Amino acid sequence: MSTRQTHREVVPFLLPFTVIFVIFLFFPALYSIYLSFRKASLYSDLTNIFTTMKYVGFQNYIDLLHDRDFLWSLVMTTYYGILVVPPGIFVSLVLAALLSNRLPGHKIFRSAFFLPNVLDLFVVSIVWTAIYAPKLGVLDQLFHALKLPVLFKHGILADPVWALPGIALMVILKDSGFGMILYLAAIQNIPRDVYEAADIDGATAWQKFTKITFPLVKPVTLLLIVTGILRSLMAFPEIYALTQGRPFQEIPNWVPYFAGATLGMTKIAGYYLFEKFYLSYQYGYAAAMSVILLFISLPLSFLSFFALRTEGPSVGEMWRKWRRSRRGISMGNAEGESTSPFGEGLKPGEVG
Amino acid sequence: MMSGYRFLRMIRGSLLAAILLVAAVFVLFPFFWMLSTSLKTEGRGMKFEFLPRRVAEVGPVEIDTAGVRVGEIQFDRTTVDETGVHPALRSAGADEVIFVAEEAKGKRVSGRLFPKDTEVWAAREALPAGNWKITYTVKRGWKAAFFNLYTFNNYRRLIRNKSFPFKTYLFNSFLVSVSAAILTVILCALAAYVFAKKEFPGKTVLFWSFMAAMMIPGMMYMVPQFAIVTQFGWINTLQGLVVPHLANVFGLFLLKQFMEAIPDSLLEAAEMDGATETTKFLKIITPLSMPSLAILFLLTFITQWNNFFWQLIVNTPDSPYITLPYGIALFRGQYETKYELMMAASSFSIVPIVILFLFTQRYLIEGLTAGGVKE
Repeated sequence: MSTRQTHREVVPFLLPFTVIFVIFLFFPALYSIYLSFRKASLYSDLTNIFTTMKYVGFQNYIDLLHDRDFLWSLVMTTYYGILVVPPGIFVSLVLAALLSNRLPGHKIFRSAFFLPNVLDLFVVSIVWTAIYAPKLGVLDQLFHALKLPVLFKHGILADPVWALPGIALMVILKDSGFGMILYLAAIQNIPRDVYEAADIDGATAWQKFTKITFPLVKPVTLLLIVTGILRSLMAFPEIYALTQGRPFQEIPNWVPYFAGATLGMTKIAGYYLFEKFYLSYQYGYAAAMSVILLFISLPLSFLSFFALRTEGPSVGEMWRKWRRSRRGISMGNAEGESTSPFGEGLKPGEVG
Repeated sequence: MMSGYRFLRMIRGSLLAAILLVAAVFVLFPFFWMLSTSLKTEGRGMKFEFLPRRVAEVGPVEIDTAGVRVGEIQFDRTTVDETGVHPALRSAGADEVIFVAEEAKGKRVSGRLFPKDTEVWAAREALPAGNWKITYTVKRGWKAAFFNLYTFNNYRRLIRNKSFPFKTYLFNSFLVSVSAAILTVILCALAAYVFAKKEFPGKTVLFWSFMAAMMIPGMMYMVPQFAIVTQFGWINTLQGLVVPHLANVFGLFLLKQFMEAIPDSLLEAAEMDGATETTKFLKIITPLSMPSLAILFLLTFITQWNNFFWQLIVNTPDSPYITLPYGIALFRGQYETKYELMMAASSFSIVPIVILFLFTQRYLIEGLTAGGVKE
């Protein structure tokens, strides 16, 4: 009897969250698949465009697989991921390794590196237009002052080869503070005596780094790889603010499949999806694209899940330990591991 | 021997500090540049010029004096920029302006300008018709020199702008972020309490299906969420901007973790005293989990402040709820190359968050890293 009582009392607490969740997260996930089998008719107006969409079967998916722009966007996304993720992880790790020495003022540096993380990527990208601008921009002025040849006549962002690396540089400088914080937590969790033992054996600093530090922070590396891949797949604001998919370039003949086509050199999947959705109102097509991207990203999420599970202490654990040891802010269950819905290894959110 | 070791350590320390300093300069430079550009007068913002100069040379400036009324030529009407006024001569405060005009054929005229009014300096005599190259030498006091380079005008212009009301954008951003943050905290706290302290059938399944939503990247929801918001008639409304993000699954998890740490004995004692669920929630759970509620509030505030993508989708350019990032995007359409104004517009979005960060960074870093950032 008392249990029945409890159940009824639970409802008002659960209801608001559940209703919003169902309408705006659960239903859309299914609705997305529904829309991906439909096509908006040209003449319907915006207010009822979604109710008048026609069923077209798998047409959207078939079209997508023959859409050279879409396949190209996947190629560029891969390239973008390569440009952003490994260098970003490298920078994070180096910064964390430097900061872990606890030099005077390391807290100020830590804040300085982390600060850009809380800022809007779109607005930060706008700020970077002032750095990458042709002639007036900081980069061009710097080249000029150093008497270097002007490599990019119309600015780096108009250069077919260097536009995407330019964007990647900005993203790395903005985001690496986040990885740094996680690495810092991981590094400071490594017991001192491991290093002392290595010292006795006469290990060099480099050996200590490659043989002790790097293997023990592997979970963080894996986490950063996966979140990095997912972010690259969905990258949008930086492209929208800086290049909008430009510059366009005719693909040379030696490139298989894409030869001869004129394609956007920064048009990556996230931006292409936005373009189809926002600029050309192809809602069904965009929905189908998002389903395909989801099927690319889900295996990656799961992969990370299992990779992280088997790799010893999870990022969450390391972070909690570090925080407890340093500040004593109590957050969550002191022995909260057992209550995690994700079992021993992983805390949700780490998957991205 | 010992001192040698200490010396080496010192060298190593300063080397590390130097590397960190360079890295910090790299990371923070864009924001320094944004601020310095936004605080400078038009046309000066993008130059590496930080110290005001009392004596400045301006030009050479080209003037075509053919077809100008004889008697008076305003030397500031040049072809230099589209406003027709050379920035260095427009601002008041110069004590003296000397000019040297040269023509292609080698003719050379020099003289002094007189202050026609506070903004304009003019010449007493006309230059003969022809193409002149004029160099001005401006002399002024320190104060005038400072305000010649630095100004708050860019911010003033944005706030008073009629077609791009940045004051409204700023207010809207606060409105959206604060209401989203408050509602998210309430919704998540209510649900988290039940998940942390109550038993009911289907609890695990429900919690897991909530958590599973975290696996799906936010961009996937773009089309269907837009479709739903359109059908609700929520385009250009506050609820359209706020409500779709209220079910913050990560927030639910964060709060649940916190609330589980609250001892059951407290709740049992309250139950003995005949407390209802509502009383328990308000009198015990809420006060005890205040730190976590604050963290979630901050995180949601910042996420919504930065939620350019959704604000772009839900708003049309004539919406009354245009927020800062979208406002900046619209503003950019017209003022893309006016870097001083663009940077001032960007600081409207960035400076409040930087200030917030400086005061709450410990909690922010904690919250963001606790979840490995869910986006």
